[in-house]
Amino acid sequence: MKRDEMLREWIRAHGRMVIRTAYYYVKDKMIAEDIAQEVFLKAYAKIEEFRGTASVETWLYRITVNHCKDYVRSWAYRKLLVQQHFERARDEGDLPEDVLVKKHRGEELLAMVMKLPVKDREVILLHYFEELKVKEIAEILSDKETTVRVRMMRALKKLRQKVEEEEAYGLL
Amino acid sequence: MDSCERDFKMARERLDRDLAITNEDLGRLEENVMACVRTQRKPGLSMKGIVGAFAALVVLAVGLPPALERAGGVAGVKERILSGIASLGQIAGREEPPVPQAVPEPQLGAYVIHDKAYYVPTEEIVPPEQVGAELGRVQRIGDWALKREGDSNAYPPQMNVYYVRNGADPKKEIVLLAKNNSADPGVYTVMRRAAVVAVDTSAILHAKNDQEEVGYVLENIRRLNPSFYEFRDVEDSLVLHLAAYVPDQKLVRMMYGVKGESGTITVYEYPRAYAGSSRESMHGPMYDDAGTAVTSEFEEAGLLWKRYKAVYVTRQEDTFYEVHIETQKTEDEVRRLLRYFVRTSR
Repeated sequence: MKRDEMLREWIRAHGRMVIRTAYYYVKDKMIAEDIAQEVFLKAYAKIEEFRGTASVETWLYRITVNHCKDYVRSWAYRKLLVQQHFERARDEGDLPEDVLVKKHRGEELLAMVMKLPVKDREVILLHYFEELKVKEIAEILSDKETTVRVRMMRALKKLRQKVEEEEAYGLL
Repeated sequence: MDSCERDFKMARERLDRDLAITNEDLGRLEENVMACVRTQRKPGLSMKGIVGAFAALVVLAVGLPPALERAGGVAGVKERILSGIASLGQIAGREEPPVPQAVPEPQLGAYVIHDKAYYVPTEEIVPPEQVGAELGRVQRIGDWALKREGDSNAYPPQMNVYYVRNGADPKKEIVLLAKNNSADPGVYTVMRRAAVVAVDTSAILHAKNDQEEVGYVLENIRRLNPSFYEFRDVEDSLVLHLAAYVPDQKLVRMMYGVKGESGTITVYEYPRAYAGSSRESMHGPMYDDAGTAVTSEFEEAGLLWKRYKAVYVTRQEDTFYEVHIETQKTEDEVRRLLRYFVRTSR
C-alpha cells in the first residue's frame, strides 16, 4: 500500500479517536481538529519510526498525547485559557432550564473529569473512555504500568471526592 | 458492569454527543491533511531525483535511434517510457521510509535479550516436550540503549520465560513462552539469535529510568554542550530519572525525583534562538522571558533567577535554563537547591 493511501486509511480509521483524544487535553473541538491534522502529518513524516512493535492505533495515541502535551504548554494555549476564563465568567448567569439540563449525570461526571488536572484526566479518559488497558496506557504515556495504576487510583479518588462534594451541596 | 463504569459510559456518550464528530469533519480532516502532504512534496524533487531524471534524458537522447528499431517503433517506446516513469516513481519512493504493513503477533522487530544477544521470534512453535531448563525471564519492557539480560521491547516482564530448547544450542536458538498477559497460556516460540548487542555509550543521548544509562547521557551532554548546567552534589535530595539531549538544537531536558517527596523537578536548557520556535523534538520549555509576570527575582551561585510561579528561569549568555518545580517546595527551599545548579560541561 502506498504511503498516501495508508495515510488516508489511518485518518478514516483513527481520525475520530485522534480528535477525541486531543479534545481530552485541549477541551475545544476546533483546536482538537487542528491538532489531529498535525498528528497525521507528523505520523506521515515519521512513518519510519513506526516499527510495528505497537499497533498503529497505539502509535497514533502516543503521537497525539505528546503533541497535546506540547500544545497545552504553549503560549497560544495559555492565552486561550485566559480568554476562556473570561468567557466563562461572562456566561455564569445560566438560564434555569440550562441548569436543569446540566443535572444530567453523564454530563456532570464528564464536566468533573474534564476539570481534573491533565495528569489525572488523561489516565481516566484513556482507560474509561478509550477503553485502553493499563499496559497500553503505560506504553502511550511512556510510563510504567505501576505508575499508571497509581495515577488512576489517585485520579479516581479525586473524582470521588468531587462527586461527594457536589452531592453534599445538592448539585447531583 | 458496575455503577462506576455505567457512569463513565454515560459520560463518554455525553462527550460523543457534545463533540459530534461527523463524517464531514473526518472528510475535511482528510482533505486538509492530504493538501498539506501535497504542498510539502512540491519542492520535494530531490537532487537524487534531478540527477536520475537528467541521466535518463541523456540515455534517452543517445540511445533513442537504435533503440527505436529494436523496440518495435514508437508504440513500444511509449510503453517503455511509461513503465520507466512508473519505476522512477518507485525509485523516488525509495528515499521515503518504508510503509509499515499490518503486523501480526508477535510483532515485527520484537526481541528478547539473552546472553548479550538479541533473540527474535521465528514462526516455529514447539510442544512442551522440547522445552528444557529455564534460562531467564523478561525483566523489563521498553527500548533502552543499554540492553540487559531479560530486556524486551515487546514481551511483558516476569510472565515471559525463556528456556533451552532440548537438543539445540542456546547460542543459536532458545524457546520463549510468549504471553500477552498472565491469563494467557502462551505458546512456546522459537527465538533465533539475531545479533550480538553492541552499544556505543558515547552516542546515548536519551535515557529514562536506568541510572547507568542516564549517567552516560550526562557524560555525553557534558562533552557535547559547553553551556550545560546541572544539579551537582545533591544526591541526598534528588535522583535523576531522565536525561535527554537534542544536539542539533542544543536542547537539554532532565527530570529529577525528589527524595522523600512526591513530584519532580524538571530542567530545560535551550538556546535563545529556540525560544518560541518549534518544540516538537521533546516536551519543550515553557518560558522564554517574554510577557509572563515575574513573581520574584534573586541571585544564587552567581546566577540571576526569575521566578514565574513554579518555574525558575535564568539566562547565561544565549542559553536559557528553566527549573520547573513540580513539588511542594517553598521558594527558600528552591533557592537552597539552586545553589547547586552549576556548569559542568568540559
